[in-house]
Amino acid sequence: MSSTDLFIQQIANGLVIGISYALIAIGLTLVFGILDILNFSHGEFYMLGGTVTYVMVDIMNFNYFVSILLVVVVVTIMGMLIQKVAIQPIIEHDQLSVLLVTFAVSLFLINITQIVWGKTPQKVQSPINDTFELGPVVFTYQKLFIILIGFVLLVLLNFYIKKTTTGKMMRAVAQDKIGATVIGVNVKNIYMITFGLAAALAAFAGAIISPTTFVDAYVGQDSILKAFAIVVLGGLGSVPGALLGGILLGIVETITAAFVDSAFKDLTAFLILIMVLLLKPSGLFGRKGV
Amino acid sequence: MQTLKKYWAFLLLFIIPVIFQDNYFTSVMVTAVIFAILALSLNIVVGYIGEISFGHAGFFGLGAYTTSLLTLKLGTSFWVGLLGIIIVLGIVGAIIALLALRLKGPYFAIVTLAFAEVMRITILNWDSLTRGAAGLNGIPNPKIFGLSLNSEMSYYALAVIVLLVTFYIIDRLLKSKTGIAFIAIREKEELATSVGINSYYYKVLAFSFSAIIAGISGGLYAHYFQTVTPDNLGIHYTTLPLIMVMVGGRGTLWGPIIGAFIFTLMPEYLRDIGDWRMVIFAVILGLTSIFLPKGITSLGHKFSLRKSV
Repeated sequence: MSSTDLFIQQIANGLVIGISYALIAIGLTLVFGILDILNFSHGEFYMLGGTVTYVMVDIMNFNYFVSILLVVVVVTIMGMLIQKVAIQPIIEHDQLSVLLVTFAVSLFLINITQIVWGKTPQKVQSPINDTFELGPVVFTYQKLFIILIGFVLLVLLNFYIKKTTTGKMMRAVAQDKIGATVIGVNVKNIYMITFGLAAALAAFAGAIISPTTFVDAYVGQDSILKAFAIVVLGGLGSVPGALLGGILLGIVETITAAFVDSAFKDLTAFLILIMVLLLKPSGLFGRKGV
Repeated sequence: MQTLKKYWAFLLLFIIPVIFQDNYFTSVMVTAVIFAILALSLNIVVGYIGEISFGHAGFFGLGAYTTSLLTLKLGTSFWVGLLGIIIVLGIVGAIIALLALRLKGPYFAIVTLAFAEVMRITILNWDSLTRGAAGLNGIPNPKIFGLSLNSEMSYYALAVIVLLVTFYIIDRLLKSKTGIAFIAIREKEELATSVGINSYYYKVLAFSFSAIIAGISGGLYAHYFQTVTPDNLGIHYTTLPLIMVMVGGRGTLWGPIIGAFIFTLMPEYLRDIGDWRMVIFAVILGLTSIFLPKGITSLGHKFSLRKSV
């Protein structure tokens, strides 16, 4: 394989990872922009997306695509419940107290999963894992599916936030909570919906990526650290920033692993973050200064 | 006498393991004291200059690796290791502080996380020096004045003395002009700046000092457990002391120490319930943060008629 071909191959692979990063990061940045909290438990919704899909497909023999839908519905409801029970009661306190609760939620979900799941990392058996060649690129239908469905989802999300009433209310709350309350927006409901939406996006990412990578109870921990880097890189609260940041990071990481050294792969997110923040503290797409 | 009053509890700390005479209990107590030092260090940033650091695991682990490498590769003594920690962490802490403290709030928190991850991944991949994921083993117990601290009890005594010294220094620091500047910055940074306090300078100072203390607790950890791995720079060693500081009571001297004891002893003695212990841990953490957002030390204020600051 020539190095150009390898390069194209890596971009395609990076795009797949980038889509899952973007889906996770968008939820995180939405929750930050609207609820004003750093949600440490966000990675756990991604983890649940992957692990619950495995249980449904490989243990209960459900259809893969039906499982994706079911998993997203289940995790969304969980997310909304968690917001209502654990986060809403102290959301008026300072950021640190809320952060602590999200630590607790994270620990709780990881360890419950660990008890049910055990320790062995697993891969979901997807019905579309066959390979095909597209010019120089060797790809699986699963990866193509991830890219296509990822983009469809991102377009739908954009429509949802920009055009629907709920989306408009979300943006109103992000801009001014008191103002939104005055014009009759039920801020508590918007908080809960946003949290559910964020959980849904992360769970979806977990469900579609799990046939290409191993999952266990701890994958959420690894993803959340990178997701933090991505959302700050894109500017906290910025959805386009999280989207671009996620996809770019996915591509840069795979290229670094292929052409420089795989050891550097996990460093890239944090090195880029440090450099960008020192040059432009509000992130690439941040609106307000820090 | 008033100033000595708050030190009586250290006498208690010294005595408790002597009463129990149980090696397992003493070793849990050593861990608790090491975490108490780490929590006190984090509390300087979280409790006194009012920023969240997600990067303290990096300082803890870097301290552990510094003294381990010095004693293993160069055969130096515990004291040289300690000096090495102070120098390395002072420099690294100051560089990170100078860069990161241009940011605030969540931006600052996440950039400190980025620095810690850079340190962790570098150590993980620098096989020739650090032996990568396997970590370093066989770090010697310290010898102090020709006395090898290889029993649980003697190491416990050393750890409590370090805790006591740390406590004393922080206490004095807070009463000094510098400490008052810290609190002024935490309460209202703009106002502090307007009366001539150089907030950037004080924040860098506090953060670097905090990094050194975190490194020392890491050094104590390495010499006690005689092993150190890149996991010691992992996020767990940041969230755990944060939990201790927050649940104990940030911005207080005893809160982080109380938090460290609770959150070290509790999971140890929940071992009987097996896998469920971390679930119970999470539930207790969740409930305390919802119902006691100002920490356990705030209970004292709730039930006392004499309201103090």
